[in-house]
Order: sequence, then structure tokens, then C-alpha cells
Amino acid sequence: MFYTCFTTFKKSTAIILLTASFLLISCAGRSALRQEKINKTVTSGDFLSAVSMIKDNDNLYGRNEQFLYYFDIGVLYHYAGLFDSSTTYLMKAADVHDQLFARSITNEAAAIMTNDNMRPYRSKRYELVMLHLFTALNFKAQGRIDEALVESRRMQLHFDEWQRTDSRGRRYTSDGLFHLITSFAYQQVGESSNSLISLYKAVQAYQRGPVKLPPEVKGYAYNRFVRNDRADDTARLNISAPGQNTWPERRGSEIVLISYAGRGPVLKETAWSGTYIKDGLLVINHKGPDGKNETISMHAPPLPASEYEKANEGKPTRSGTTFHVKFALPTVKTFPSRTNNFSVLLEESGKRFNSVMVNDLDATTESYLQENLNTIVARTAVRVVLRTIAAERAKARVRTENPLANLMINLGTDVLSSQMERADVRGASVTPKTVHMTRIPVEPGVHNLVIDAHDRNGNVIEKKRFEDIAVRRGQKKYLFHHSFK
Amino acid sequence: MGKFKALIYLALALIVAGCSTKVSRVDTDSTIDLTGRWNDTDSRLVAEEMIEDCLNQRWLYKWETEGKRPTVIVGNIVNRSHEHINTQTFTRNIERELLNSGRVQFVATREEREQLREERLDQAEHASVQTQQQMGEEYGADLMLIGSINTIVDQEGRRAVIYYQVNMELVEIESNMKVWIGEKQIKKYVERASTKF
Repeated sequence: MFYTCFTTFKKSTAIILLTASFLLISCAGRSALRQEKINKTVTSGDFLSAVSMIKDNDNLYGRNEQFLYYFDIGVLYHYAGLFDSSTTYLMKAADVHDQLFARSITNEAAAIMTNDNMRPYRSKRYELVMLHLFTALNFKAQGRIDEALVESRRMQLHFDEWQRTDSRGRRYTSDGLFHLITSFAYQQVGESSNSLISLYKAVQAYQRGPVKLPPEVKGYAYNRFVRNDRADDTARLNISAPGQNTWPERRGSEIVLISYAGRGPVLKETAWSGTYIKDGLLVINHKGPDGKNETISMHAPPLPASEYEKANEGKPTRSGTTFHVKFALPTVKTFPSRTNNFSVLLEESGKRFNSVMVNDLDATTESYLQENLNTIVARTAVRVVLRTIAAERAKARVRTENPLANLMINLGTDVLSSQMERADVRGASVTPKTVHMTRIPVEPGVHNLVIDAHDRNGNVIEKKRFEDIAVRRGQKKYLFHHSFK
Repeated sequence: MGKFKALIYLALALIVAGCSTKVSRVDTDSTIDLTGRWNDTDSRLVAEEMIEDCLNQRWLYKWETEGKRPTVIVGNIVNRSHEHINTQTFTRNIERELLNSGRVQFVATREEREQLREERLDQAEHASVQTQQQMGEEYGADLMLIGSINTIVDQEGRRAVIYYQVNMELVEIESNMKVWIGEKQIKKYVERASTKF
């Protein structure tokens, strides 16, 4: 009876479920696998080997993760100093992002039935900002300032759109570092007004965002606004006269060192479990790494009106009865870094310059996930409840008179159903933990620099020498350095 | 079951057809807008129209009445847009249009001149005296063509109006006098699909 029933019921359904679950297991595993594989090579500073490894193993990125494939390679080429190659790949990633504007109905439906890993990866907002930032920095490194400004304008269109759709003004819609870099670029091409507007936006974004406004940037902005007859801006931004920690306004030649420290955060999956109370509430909870319980209660995903009418009349509804649910939600996993800050020695003068932290990817990612948690939970709730109801109904349909067969069907359905529940933990694998900037005023000519990476206690943990850096009159020369310890 | 099989074959056929790359040759003058971005048609049309305007203005009569052809050089065309526009292609279109009119002549750009000077230096050492080209015989340009490409984008969700404005100026190198200012606008309305299958 069991076998007859099973074969007639759902040979095709079983195959679909089985295939889907295998596919999904591999989807979810890919993200962790590539982080593990790439991380070792990146930490050792062998970026080109990491690129080769990715290109040789493009199955580490599925068809749905093309954005990440191009983005990761682009960032690695940037670290390696191959700016043209980096730009090529970053632009491909930007194209993928543009092409994914239209959402595929098929993918969305599949995601509702299974999980979000079925949808093509569209990038998180801060990743898109990093994409255009790295591209702009590539152009700056090559002295192509007009092209760097094209990236600024492209990103501004995204910022404008995000701000338009953020009715409450609480979400990540702007980025301090991006506007700061843009401000420097406008200043370089002599567009002072645009430079000051970007500086205003930079301060505003730092004040609203998760990354604290560095005192050096605050003082620099204050002085530039006052000197350029825009003192009103200082009042609007509520910034006061700077103390000692301030970047002076530099019109002459300058070396700008961008340093990347530590390994950026990744997303990991956490399991939540709870109870779906028939036609009513959904209560889920989770024990965090600190041992504390977190609980989320929400209205159960809506049913058709006819089902509510049945529920009111006390008749059985399609939602069945109260049952247990399992959720998988993403959380941020950060990595400790020994590298805390940098200092730069200009050999000819013996002067030392300290770096300023201008971006913190840990804080940005945490904050971004937090502000999107409600949306993620709501999507997950609809998906889990619908799937659990479907599984319950499937179990009921194939119920046999054989208790052992029933047990196996129940277990099998539950296992398949729970295997399908995967959090979307996809994300960039090679972003830095923090970004630092050091501004070094120089005379036109050739210079040598020694860069020290310091730990939290000020000890030097890494040293690097840059030789024969030629700087022209009035040029801002961009250099890049990394310490992923 | 037969129907089911037929459906599967149909789906497979559609998938296979969708996967294959199809290439066909098209007329280089045809207008094909795929993304709404600046493309070859924009570059060609703007170049043609601007140069037509340029050649029909009074500045050229001054030269023509003296029976001369002014020597022009193309300077920087600055990209102030939100797209990475290949200004070199645009510059070449302009050069070609002007040169083919037969009413002006061109000298090589700064980068090209440097390359040519290197070649002359090389010839001075290695070429026979009879065939070597002489130093100091270059043509100095009378006028420089400079310009910029700007955009204004008004965007809301999947709809966007993109306004391109190309400005060009012809400046007398000796006197810094501007003898011609041209402007050409293109406005595009782009609507992207929000869903697909």
C-alpha cells in the first residue's frame, strides 16, 4: 500500500524535492567554501594566485552569483595593483547589477518555495558602493581623474534613488568615504563648488551612518567651508572649530595612501526555531553566541480571506494546526585583526604621518543587516510557513495504514523540508575590515616612503617600503597598501 | 503522459534555443539602442551635426577669402557625464567629418606628435640622408577644437530621462579668441522592465 501510494503520489514531486534539496545544499555550502579557500591566499598577500584559483574553480560561484565572481576578482586585482584588470572585472559586476534590475518571476517563485539562494545575487548596497569606490580608486591610481568622477556620478544616481525610496530616512543611503574621495577628485579638477558639496555629503553620511566621523575629516571640512564662504554649512552640519587632529587644506603635491587592514566580515547562518500558531502568531527564538535568548513574534503570514472566514466559523483551514517551524537567518561574522592603524615615514624629511580610519566594513555590515532584518524575517516567515503547510498536507495525503511507512514519509518530508531552509549568506569574500587614509604633503619630485602597520598597542607588526614615487607639481598621487594580519 | 512528454520537449527546445548565440551583421549606420546609454549612433550623429554647423559659420569665410585652409588640432574632449564614454571615438568622428569636408586640415594630436618626433629622431640615426624626414618642419595649428560631454539624469525607479549635452568650441591658438561655439543635445527616455520570466 505504502509503495503504491508513494509511487502514484509523487514520484515527480519526490524527484523535484530531492533535486532541489541537493542543489540548495550545494548553493549554501559554496559561500562558506569559497571564503575558506580564498581567505588563506588573500591573507598571505598572494592576490594573483587567489584570482587564478577563482578562475580555475568558477563553480565556487554559481550562475546566480556572477556579481560576486566579478566583484571578488576585481577587488583582488585592485589589491595586486593591476588597475586595468580590476576595472574590467568591477565594470562587469556593475553590468550584472544593472541587468538584474528586472526580477525573474520564475526565480522569485522558486525562492518562495525553497529559499533566497535561488535568486540571483544582486549585491548589498555597501558592496555596490565598494564596487564604485574601488573603480574610482583604480582610475585615480592611473591619474584618470575624469573617469574617477564618472564613477562618482554613477554612484550618486544610486544614492539619489535609495534616498527617494527611504521614506523614513533611516537606511543606508549614502557613504562618507565615497563622498570624501569624490570631494578630492573634484578639487583636483578645479571644481571647487562640487568638491565642497561632496565634502558636505561626506560629513552628513558619516554623522548618519555606522562609521564615526573622523576628527581629521571634521576639522578639514570645517576649515574648507569657512575659507570658501560656506560657514552656513558648518552650522547645518553642527560642526565646530577643529582641535589639533585636522587635515590641513593642501593645494600642492600630495601622496594619498589608502591602506586596507584585516579581513572583512562575512555572513553566517544561524538557526532559529519556533511555533506557528494556527491563523495567528508566529513566535521564533534563537540562542545567540553570548548565550542570551532572542525572540521575535509576528503575525503569521496572511491566508486568503476565505480561509479566515473558515477559521472564524471554527472550520478547519488549509493552514492546518499549530506546528513547529525552523528558520535560518543570516548574521554577521567578524574576524579579529592584529592590524589597527598605519604610520608613514617620508624618508627625505624624516617626518611621520598617521593614518585615519575612514571606513569600517564590520560596522557597516552589522548596521545594514540590522536595518534589513525585518524584511528578511518577513520573507523567511512567509516561505517557512508556506512550505511547512505544504509539507503537512503532503504528509496527510500519502498517509498509509502502515505505521512504519507513515513514520518514514513524515521523517523524509521533514528532512527535505528542513534541508531547503537556508539563509542567504552570500556576499563579497575579499573586502577589508577597515580602510585607512594617510595624506602626505610632498614637493614635486621622487620620494621614498616606509609604511608601518601597528597593532592596538602601537607595536609595529609589518613594514613596507615604497621607492621612487614620482609626484608632479600639484598632483595627488594615490598609493595602496594592505595588511591582512 | 504523451502531453507531459510533449511539454518537456517543448521546454527543452526553448531552453536550447535561448542558450545559443546568434550573430547577424547590421548596417553601421543603423540605429540600435539596447541600454539607453551613449552609443555609436549618438557619437556619429552628434559629430556629423556639430561639424556641419561648425563649417557653416562665419569664422571659416575669413580663411577662405584669403584662399587658405585653417589647420586644426583636436584638444581635450572632457567627459563630465555619468557614463564611461569613449571620447576618442567621438574625437575621431569629428576629425573625420572636418577633414573630409576638405575645408580644413588637421595636425596630429599631442600624443601622436610625440610618437612622430621619436620616429624622426630614429630616422636621423638610421635612415638614409635622402629619405630621412627633417626636424623642425612641423605644421603649427591655427585653431584648437575643445569640448565636453555632460549629462543630466532624472531617474525614478525603472524610468529615467537622460539628457546629454555636447559642447564644443573652436579657439584660435595665437589669440585665444573663440571663433565658434557649438552645442548639441540628445534626450532619451529609458524604461526598464521590472519583471521577466
